[in-house]
Amino acid sequence: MAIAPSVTMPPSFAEWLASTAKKFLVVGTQKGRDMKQRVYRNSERRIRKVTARRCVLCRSRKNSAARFLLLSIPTAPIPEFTAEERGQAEAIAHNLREMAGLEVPIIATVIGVGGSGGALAIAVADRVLMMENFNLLRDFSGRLRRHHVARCH
Amino acid sequence: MPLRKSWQPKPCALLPLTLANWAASTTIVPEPEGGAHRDYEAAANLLDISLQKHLAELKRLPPADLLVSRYNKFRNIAQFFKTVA
Repeated sequence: MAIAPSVTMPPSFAEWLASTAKKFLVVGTQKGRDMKQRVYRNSERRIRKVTARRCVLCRSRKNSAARFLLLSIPTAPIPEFTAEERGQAEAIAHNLREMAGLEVPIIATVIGVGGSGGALAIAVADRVLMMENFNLLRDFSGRLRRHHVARCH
Repeated sequence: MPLRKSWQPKPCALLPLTLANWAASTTIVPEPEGGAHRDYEAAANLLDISLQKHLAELKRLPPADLLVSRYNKFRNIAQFFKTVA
């Protein structure tokens, strides 16, 4: 199984995918596990960049027989004017349109905690699998996230 | 605009069971005891069972039916009103 070089994933997961002997395209996001990783990845808030990359991958696999497995922690859009100026809403809508036209099966697997914008993206999949301890917040801005984390602990 | 100090955010946390009732979710994948982050291998094995099952179902559908069912699924999310007023 060929894995795109731009994609980084844990080696154990890549081995597991290779062992299934099926043709997959896996798209996922990582927010980071500690503060250093989160700062490096900006908690994966670059929603326009992520969705644009996902669209390119979708289009390249449009007519192939690959199964499309979207392994995702859905990222919420940033409720700011500056984010909208950079085309955040357009990126989400473009992503939905591309995913709706794919002729291969799409299975979205949701891990972790996510927000509203990513929920739209995973909703277009044929099947949505959710981990047992998954939470979805309608607005996942920093203030709400801190509040949610404080409530959970 | 600065927020008032007394303002308390009210997160609307939607759990998988709630989402499943709204038809947004198809399957809830069980996690190993303590969460998926405690045991990656067990979590991957549990996920594998669900993936194999759904892939086998989707494999049988021709692409045209796949697109129609995907569209209908998206349109039927969150059916709040079951009867016409």
